[in-house]
Amino acid sequence: MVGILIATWVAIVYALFFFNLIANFLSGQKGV
Amino acid sequence: MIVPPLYHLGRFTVGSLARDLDPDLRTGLSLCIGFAVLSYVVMVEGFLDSYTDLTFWLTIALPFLLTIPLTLRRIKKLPARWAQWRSAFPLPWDRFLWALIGLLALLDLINAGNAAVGWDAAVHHYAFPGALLRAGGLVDVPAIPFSYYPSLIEMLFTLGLKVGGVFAAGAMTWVFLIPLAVALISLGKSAGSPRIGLWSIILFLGAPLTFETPFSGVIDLPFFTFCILALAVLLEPERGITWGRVVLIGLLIGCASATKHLGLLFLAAFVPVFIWKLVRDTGKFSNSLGPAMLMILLSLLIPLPWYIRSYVLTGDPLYPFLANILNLAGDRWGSFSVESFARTDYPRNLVGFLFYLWHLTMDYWDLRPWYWAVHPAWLALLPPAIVWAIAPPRETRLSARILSLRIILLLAFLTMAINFFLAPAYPRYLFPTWLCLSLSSAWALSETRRHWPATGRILVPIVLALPLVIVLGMAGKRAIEVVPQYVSPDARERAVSESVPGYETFAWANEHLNPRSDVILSIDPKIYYLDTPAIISKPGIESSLIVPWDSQPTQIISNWRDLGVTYFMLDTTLISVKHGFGIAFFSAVLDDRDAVWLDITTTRAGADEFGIGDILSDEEFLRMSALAGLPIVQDGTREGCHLLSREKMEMFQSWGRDWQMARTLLRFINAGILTEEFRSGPGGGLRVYRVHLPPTDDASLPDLPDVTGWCLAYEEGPVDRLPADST
Repeated sequence: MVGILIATWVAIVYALFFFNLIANFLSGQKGV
Repeated sequence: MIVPPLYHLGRFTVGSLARDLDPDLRTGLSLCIGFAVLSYVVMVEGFLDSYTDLTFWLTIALPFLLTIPLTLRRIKKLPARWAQWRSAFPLPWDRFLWALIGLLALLDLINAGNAAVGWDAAVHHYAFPGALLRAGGLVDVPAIPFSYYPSLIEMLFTLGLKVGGVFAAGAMTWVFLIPLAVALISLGKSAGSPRIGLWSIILFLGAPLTFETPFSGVIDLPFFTFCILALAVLLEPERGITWGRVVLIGLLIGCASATKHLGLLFLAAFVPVFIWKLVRDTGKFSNSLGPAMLMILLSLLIPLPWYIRSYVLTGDPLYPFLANILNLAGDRWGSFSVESFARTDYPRNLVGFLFYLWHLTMDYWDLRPWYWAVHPAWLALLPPAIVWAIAPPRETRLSARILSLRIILLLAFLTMAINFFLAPAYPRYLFPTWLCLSLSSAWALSETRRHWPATGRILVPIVLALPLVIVLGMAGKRAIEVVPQYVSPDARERAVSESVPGYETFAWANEHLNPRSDVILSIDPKIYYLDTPAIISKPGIESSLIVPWDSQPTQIISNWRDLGVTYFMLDTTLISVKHGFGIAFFSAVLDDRDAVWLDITTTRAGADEFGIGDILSDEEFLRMSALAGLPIVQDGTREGCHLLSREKMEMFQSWGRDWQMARTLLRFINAGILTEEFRSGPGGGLRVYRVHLPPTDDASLPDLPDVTGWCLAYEEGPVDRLPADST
């Protein structure tokens, strides 16, 4: 049960992270 | 030729201080200490004004020749070390991960030859060594405000650029990948298994943020390698702490401070961790104080030559670090401020801190290119790691590995807290934190795999592989671009031209200006590309040679005359510079009124008349207004007509001095003091102006065009009385 909980949490964080990353990549965001 | 003698020298030092260390860790330490010694040798040569080919080749060749027998002896032992390494990682999966790390390291080494170096290198890390090489020694370079920083790695870059160009300089930092890897493996062992170390290498190098650190002329890799080696020596599991190890830790943190001032902040975070470990080892708090004092003393002693240099030249040993807080060099000009190029409006309170890691992982995007993203595992696996550290299973409750995990987490917490309160929300300033979180994430992943094998089998490959694939792709793509540069000078020139906007302007300046007689004042700080001496004048990081941009024009003319400025380089692609010109225009529109009505069509036309029509495009004009919260946004809420009040204008003006710089420059252009000679880059963004100083400093300057008519006075409102076509 705890293992599945950890896996679910990790999956949520990874999904949000990649969504952000791809959005930033597509927007052509540049740094200084 | 450079590496073997340094390794032997470092090995001798490390062997004298801590002979009982793990052999792999000793190898890593030996390399780092050796390179630090080389840096100080180059520094001494610089103080003696002897940056010549002969000196540099003697510095390299003599130790190499003298240590050939020792090198041959070490080479004979390599097969045995290789066998040891294979026995530590027997599983094919482990070896596959090592193969991926090896592939990434190989691509990074290829990428070290990229002539199109990054922003930091072109502004500071290669620009400063370039200026030193032109001068022939370690002289005062006030044109570059960063030149007063401790420069342990810049000394290596000086040597590298002289003897092997960009590749040798980049390879100097690349070498630090080896000590970084052995430090993480050693820390993995202290946390239970070398595999934890291996996974932490994958997690750390798999973050897009770390991608450029091994090759693009930045100094972060040596900096955080020194930091993590200090932690590895502290937690190395074989024996308790000894005086020799204390000295070694002090030397390492000293080297970190001699690389970047952030080393001082790392020291502040490391002291509580150090004391905790010693109290656990010896059982008494008082036993930890002597070693802690020695460690702190050495940490400050190693960078001392750099502090003394900065103090002698500026009156502030840390200049310009924290200059706005310490204000020790109060009579110097310039306005250096890290805040000028990093976001600072993240809430600095307890709630802000609790969500800081989330913010840096998910929300943080402005001024950060997408490829500076941190690793999602650092956030995702932190909660399980904290739970395990606070309430570990019964069988591991008192084990040394739990103590290691707790120390690693505490160091992550302290380094992050110090960054949170003292530095801007900028992921690059948090590398020691990211290393600690890589270790704690690998630890949590390993425990998940042990307790829930079915879940672990799916979770481990996904967590490790996903971001790493992106980084490998980035490194591969870069390598494909760099390889032609090794064989063709044209390809090198093309690469720089494509990656540096407006490079043609630098090339034009190098072709037409005289390096012996001309002096450039450059708003574009990438002066590494210029052959002619240039003074960085970008607001926020301008040289202390120039008077602040909000000074009177007469003072500025006088300052330029004293400096012998003959050319001015204006980079209108910089967001801050664009803001400056935009704010100057809106200030002129508002004039001394309390409020006016604006609409996009007329104000845009007014901007053309004001002289900034080709500095801000329509889109930039709108975007800049939106950023400032100015009302000139076509959102349809007021039929395209919006109120600009003095309150909003003052808030906008409080962003900086750039708008006053813009006003002065526009007046100089109108007066003929600046005449344009060349422009290139996107939209002609990078321009060279010739400077024609008037005979006297108090020459009268023309007023800027009156643009107050490009809006409606407040009394002429309300909205429904505005012209129908004003949208």
